[in-house]
Amino acid sequence: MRERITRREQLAGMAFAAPYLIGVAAFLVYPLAMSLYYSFCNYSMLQPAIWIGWTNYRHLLTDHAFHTALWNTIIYAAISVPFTLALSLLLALLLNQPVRSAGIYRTIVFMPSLVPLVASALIWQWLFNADKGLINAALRPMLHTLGRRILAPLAGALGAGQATVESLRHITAPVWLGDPHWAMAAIIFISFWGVGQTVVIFLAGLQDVPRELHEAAEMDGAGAIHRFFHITLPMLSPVIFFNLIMGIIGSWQIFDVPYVMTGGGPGRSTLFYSMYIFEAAFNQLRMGPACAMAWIQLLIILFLTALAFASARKWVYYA
Amino acid sequence: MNRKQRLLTHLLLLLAAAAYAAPLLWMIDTSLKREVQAVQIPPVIIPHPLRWQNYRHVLGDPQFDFSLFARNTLIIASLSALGAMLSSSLVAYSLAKIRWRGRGLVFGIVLASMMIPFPVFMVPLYRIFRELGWIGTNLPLWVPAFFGIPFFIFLLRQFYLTIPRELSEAALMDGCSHFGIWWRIMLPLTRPALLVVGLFSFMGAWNNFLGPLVYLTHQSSFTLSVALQVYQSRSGGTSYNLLMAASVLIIAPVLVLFFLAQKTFIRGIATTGLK
Amino acid sequence: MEAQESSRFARAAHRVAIAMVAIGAAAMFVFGDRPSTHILPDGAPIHHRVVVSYWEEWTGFEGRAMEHIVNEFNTSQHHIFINMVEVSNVNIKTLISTAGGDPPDLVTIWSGIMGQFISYHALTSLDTLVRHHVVTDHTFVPFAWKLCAPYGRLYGLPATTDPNALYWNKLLFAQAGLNPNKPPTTLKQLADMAARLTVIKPDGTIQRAGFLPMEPNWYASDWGIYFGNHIYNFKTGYFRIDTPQELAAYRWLQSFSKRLGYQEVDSFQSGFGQFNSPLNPFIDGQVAMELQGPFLANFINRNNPELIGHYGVAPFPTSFGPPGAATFGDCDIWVIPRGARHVKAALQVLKFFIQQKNLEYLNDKQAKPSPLMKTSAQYIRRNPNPYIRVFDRISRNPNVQSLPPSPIWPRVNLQMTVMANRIWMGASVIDQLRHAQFLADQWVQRENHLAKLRIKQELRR
Repeated sequence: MRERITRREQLAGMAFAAPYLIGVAAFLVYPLAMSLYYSFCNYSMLQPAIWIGWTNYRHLLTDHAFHTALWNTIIYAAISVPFTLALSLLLALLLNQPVRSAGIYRTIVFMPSLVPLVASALIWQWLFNADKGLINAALRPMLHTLGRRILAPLAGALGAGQATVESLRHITAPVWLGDPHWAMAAIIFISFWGVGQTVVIFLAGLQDVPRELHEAAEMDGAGAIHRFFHITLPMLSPVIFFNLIMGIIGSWQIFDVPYVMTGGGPGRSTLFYSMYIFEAAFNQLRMGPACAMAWIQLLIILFLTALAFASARKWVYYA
Repeated sequence: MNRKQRLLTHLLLLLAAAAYAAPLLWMIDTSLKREVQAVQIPPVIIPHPLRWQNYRHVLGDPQFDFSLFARNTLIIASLSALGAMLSSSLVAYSLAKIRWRGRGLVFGIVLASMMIPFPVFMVPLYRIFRELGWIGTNLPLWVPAFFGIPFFIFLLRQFYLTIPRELSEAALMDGCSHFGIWWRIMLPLTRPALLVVGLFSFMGAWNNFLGPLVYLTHQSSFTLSVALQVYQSRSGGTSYNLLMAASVLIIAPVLVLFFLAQKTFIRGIATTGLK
Repeated sequence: MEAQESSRFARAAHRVAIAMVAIGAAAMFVFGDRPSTHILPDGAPIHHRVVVSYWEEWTGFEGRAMEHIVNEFNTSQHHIFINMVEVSNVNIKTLISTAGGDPPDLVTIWSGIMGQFISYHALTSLDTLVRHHVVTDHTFVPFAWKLCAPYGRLYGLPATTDPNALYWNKLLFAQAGLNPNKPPTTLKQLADMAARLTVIKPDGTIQRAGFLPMEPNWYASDWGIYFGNHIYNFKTGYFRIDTPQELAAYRWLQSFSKRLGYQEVDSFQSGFGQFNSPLNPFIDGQVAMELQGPFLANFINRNNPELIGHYGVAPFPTSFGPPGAATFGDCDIWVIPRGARHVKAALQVLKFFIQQKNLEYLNDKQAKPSPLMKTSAQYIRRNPNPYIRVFDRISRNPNVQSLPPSPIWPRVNLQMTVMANRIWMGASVIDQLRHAQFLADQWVQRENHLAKLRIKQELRR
């Protein structure tokens, strides 16, 4: 009796999972294997693949543009991930306050995360325009006053040279997307605009923190800051962990915004990993190096996630 | 909270709201200006006169055939949503409610495959779709949704686990098949979760850029995201007032959908982060 | 409480479902069935015709010019129908679709990708047109022919030609106290005049620039030509980047950013309007001199007719000879991708396109010189470009240099653009050139090596 049910269950289970099992074979395992194979080939899709061994990987060792793309992505991920996490947590704490029309504020903060990234890129490209953009239009008078009224006199008083004082008097707004460093800063900045979903997840997490804990702590005379670090943060740690993992995976794949906004420029200062893969694969039909890079990207993401999971034992608190 | 604290909270909230709303407002603002006014320094805050013609201009541009691209996008997004809802719930049901050997492994694959970046598949999938003769059609963009999306499988499985075991076991005893249980009990019970899946995959398809960029070779099959990028990068360029008008046109449907389904959205996202 | 909450939620979800269906239905209703695009200009549908899909790179009035010829063809016979689509980023789109096995039958591409296409066997050879004496190597101007048949075999036909020349604004020359009818004849003179034409605002920002080598930014890899460099060695397939001529060229380029400050120039440039708008920097007088193609005249006609008669065009100065001793020239090329479904019909179409009347019509409308050696008097007369004679003369000059037909040119070009950008921002010229040379050599070597491997493998089969 028991045996028969199990067999039936086994068949039913596999039948129900069949779409995914077929999908795994067709759209996961086979492509993964092919991509690994191509990474050892010269392949343009227009001619048959030729096995060239480790050549693609060896060439990546000396490919400066690849190093640039890798480095830019590391910088982006290293800054964007922790800062978006901190910012969304702060916003969630703020939006969690019981004030009137909190719902409207939440909606406003959430909305940008729905905007298609191509459109976000265009909006911000326009805002960051060095000459006619809104950001510099606002910055210019502020910097003007700051330079003339505060920085220059201060430097003068501190005995700085004439040249320094003069340059501080003429402090100018950054050219943003025209400047290698500021372009990167701008792209990181845009990631702060789309934190809506992370904020909502944090909000849900905050609402799950038992109120009794806070009340008990307050009775014991614990201040707000103390309660945040000793109750809220530990209780939220699984949610933080989830957002961290999602952040790592997402940030390593950044493509749309820089592709549309800067195309990787100026120079290659905003060339990111996925863009370089795309460029190699579909602008130059160099499928071999593209697949090699994609596999390296996969290994990096797996490594970072594994690292996060390993560290999780130390700081993630499961009730 | 005392008065001072409340005031401070409101102030901070206002600041945050301003920062998050400003780009969208500026987009709408620019979309209603003449080109000369759009680039004026210092910036003109209130467009004068309101130039609704920008929208007519964008909609009348053969390079930005909005109704065609919206239709293309809508078809892909709806089919993706349908596929994701059907397949993911089936698979999730099997992982949550049926006891069978290998389901632990499958669940492991589901979790692991969420971490694989798209570029790894990009080239081989292109090859596969070429062999199938799908390049240039919209098939590569929605057919895979019918084979289960890992993230949604995970999400629905968590939902199904919250439904008491006794319910399905009783039905089994009554001679109901698993398919019957899934169709008649599970789907109605988890309708909100299913809608979340539908909504998310709809939004994902609507906003997808890299996929259509690679697989859609014919202009007549473009989606809105790609069309917007093409509109920006065409030879000779496009002025910002028109670009912003085109952006408004692309964002508007998403925001309308959001306002109609605000609760589903928020609930859906909120649940993704919970174990 | 919980139950109430969830039933409220269910109701909300229900509303959502209805809303989604409603939106979908509404959309279907609004958008409805789209009429077939395969309709003749007089509205008659087509029957039993071979449909040639044709991708055209130009939009707007330039695209309309091509559309006119397409319509002429469609009404001139009853067997073939050309379905023309305007496609942005046409080179990459063509590459991807050819790799995907679903290319159009006919495309106008930009010349820079010819070498890559040829080496990947991505194009259908047009040698049959040569065998049947439809075209010979004297049909087209030399540089256009060289782009289409770089190694003897014919792979494309030129649609339009774009030789570059110096545009200068006579009003601004007069304002700056320069003779408005005397353009610079040496590069030194050009720099001096540029300095006199430049106007700086009291706050240190730029109000007008005399000349900016990075405006437009399309020619960033071509400056060596005006200093006597031949970047591509047709015999060996190697590049010459690390040469004294290129060094001089990019030092010259950098001198402009050093004089004006690259941050200031960048900020100034980011305020420029789009090329095809009245706020184009040359058209609205923010830049006094520019290196540009013939098409700019068309945009002046349309976007600022007041400038007509107040600007001039002359061959661009060179460091080693008279102006025009070497010039960059580009070309739009019609090709049939490999895997095209209707090659025979596409060849018929091409034969029609390159008839003198049609090529002259197209180039007239785009204000460019015709790629044909033979020209009619009325074509020069009809051309809306007041300086068409200047461009026509440049285009026939055997010293026009074009983009190298190397399989790796797109990569070298990209690297050189990055290099130009970095040099513009102050990087060491010699280091950048050496680096680009190193990379280009490496790529050529690898390409050669792979070609050998490929031959070996084919022999083994």
